[in-house]
Amino acid sequence: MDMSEQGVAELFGLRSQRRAEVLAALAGLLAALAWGSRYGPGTAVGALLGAAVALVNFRWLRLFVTTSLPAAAGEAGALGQKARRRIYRRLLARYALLLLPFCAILAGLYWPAVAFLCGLLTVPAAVLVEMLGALTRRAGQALLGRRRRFGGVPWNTSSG
Amino acid sequence: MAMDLPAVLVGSMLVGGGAGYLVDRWLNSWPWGTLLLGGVGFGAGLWTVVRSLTQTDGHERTGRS
Repeated sequence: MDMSEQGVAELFGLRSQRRAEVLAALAGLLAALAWGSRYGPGTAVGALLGAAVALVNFRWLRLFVTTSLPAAAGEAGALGQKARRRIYRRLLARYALLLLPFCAILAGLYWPAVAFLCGLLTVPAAVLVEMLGALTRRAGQALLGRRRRFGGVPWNTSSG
Repeated sequence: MAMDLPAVLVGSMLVGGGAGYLVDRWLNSWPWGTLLLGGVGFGAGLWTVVRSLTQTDGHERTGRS
């Protein structure tokens, strides 16, 4: 398995992930505005906190995949049993740390938990939108390539 | 494929969240079931992604064994 930084970046689509991050931040702001204007400032704070937790988690995951994993693999390009265990432990510790503010926010907010959940969902929504965008772009490029190959006429498939 | 790992992560979270939503409707406990099962789905997706990325025991990602 290619564990080089370039290989992982190519696998995960680094540009797509950055775009998804920006999209998630925008979606979080929009969700906070929508909840705030409809149900008051408490829910806006809930949605904003949910979006912030989801975004921090997404960034952690992105950095883990693009920097920590290739660094652990080293020049050999492979992970040993020890390195793999260390990675699992580090990831578990990170999520245990993230669970503390998560529980504190939920305990302190009481009913805006729904707004908080909505904020959490901004990252999966942004990732889905970015995936659809990437698929559309890829299909568009394939179509353009075919047009160029067949002299600008997409239905002309004869070689002679 | 470039997007299969994020798809696994998001898909498992959405499936878990959907199951949680159904449990919430059944038990009238909204939104705790959705949060809990969504978290479990996220954990399962993360486990799958990390395992597939750290799997080095002779298997290549290209499908050759």
